Amino acid sequence: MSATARITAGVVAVVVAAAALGYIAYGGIGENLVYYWSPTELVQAGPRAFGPIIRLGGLVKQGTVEWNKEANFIAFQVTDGKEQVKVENTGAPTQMFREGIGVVVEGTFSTDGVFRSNRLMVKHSNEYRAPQDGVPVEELYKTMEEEVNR
Amino acid sequence: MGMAKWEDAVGAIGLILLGVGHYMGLFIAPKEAMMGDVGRILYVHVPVAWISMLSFLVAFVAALGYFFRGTTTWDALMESAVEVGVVLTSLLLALGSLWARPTWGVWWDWDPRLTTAAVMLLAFLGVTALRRLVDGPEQRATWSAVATVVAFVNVPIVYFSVKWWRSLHQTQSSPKTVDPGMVTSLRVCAFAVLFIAIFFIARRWRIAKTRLENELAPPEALLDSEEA
Amino acid sequence: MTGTIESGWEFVIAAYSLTWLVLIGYAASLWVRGKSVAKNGEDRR
Repeated sequence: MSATARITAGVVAVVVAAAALGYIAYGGIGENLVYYWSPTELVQAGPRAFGPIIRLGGLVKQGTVEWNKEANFIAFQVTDGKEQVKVENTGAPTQMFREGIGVVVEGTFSTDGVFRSNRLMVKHSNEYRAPQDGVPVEELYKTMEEEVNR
Repeated sequence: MGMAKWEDAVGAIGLILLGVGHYMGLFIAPKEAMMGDVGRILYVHVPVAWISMLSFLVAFVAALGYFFRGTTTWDALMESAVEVGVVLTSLLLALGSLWARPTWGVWWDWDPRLTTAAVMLLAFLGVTALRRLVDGPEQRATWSAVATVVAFVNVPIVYFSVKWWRSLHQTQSSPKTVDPGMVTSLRVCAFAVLFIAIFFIARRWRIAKTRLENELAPPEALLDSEEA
Repeated sequence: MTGTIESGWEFVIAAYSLTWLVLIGYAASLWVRGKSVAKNGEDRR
């Protein structure tokens, strides 16, 4: 293989790679591939959101967690600060679950306005802190909200 | 191969640092406020993530080096760095899974970060497969350099996936978001994996170079019994 | 539900062990391949 052919192959490869990266970074691909819906989007979508299996992401609203041990079932509201959606999840969440933490739930949005899920994922922020006495919950809440609304 | 090489010293330092770093991560660093002891997986997962991407960067630079110079030494470096990157990325995904189960509650989910990381691994596995398929050292080198450059597109995508798209995986941490008591352990572990990866890449590079030399210039007496 | 993970050492031990296993395993594979390449080279001389 001649040097010219080799270098040409290199230039073509780099151009193709740069174009692919540019398309993914600036081509708005993310608008079509949404990993989870926010409560506001879900409420706005209304009837269009009923039925298919989707994910909903947000913060567990303070004071809304109800835990039914017999039925192995947990109910709470997911909020993004503007709208909230009631979630009923079967199965126990991990120990990190608490009011104010970020969650992603997978399931279906029903006509009665309840999001029924059987897969609850607890979202951790990018903060790693040593335990302190009297953890400022409001501070933790802020970092989660920042994550969800970014 | 018999004699000691410069990379042996780098590898030995890496090994010592890994021992020290893991000891710090397990016993000295504080628990994480919410993740408890499970947060200690930080010190194995994050360094492997950084250094796997760095290995692929070395492979990318080696591919460019081959395009410009056309020498076996660049081709061998590319082969080496791709393989080390693949090993580290496989480890990375397994470690992430072990962290995800107790924290998120699932072993795996197709969120943007995990999906793009899996695609990145498959892309570089494709490069190693291509190297096995193509006969002829020059064709193999050129085509695998093209494949490496294209596969490398995945690396910035993996890195920025948590910024570009909503994900379950958290965004990048920085010394600002990590407790000072944890930063030191993380740094020691990161340098440990860096040094070990340099040792791996250098060693694998020598093997690839020797193989290519043997392939390109087989001694006449052995041409009949050539098997590899 | 305290919001804090109280257990989970088994995941930590698994992660650290796996790291050593993979790194040592790969080092061993390099050693074996280095030997065979060196031997191959000697045979050719």
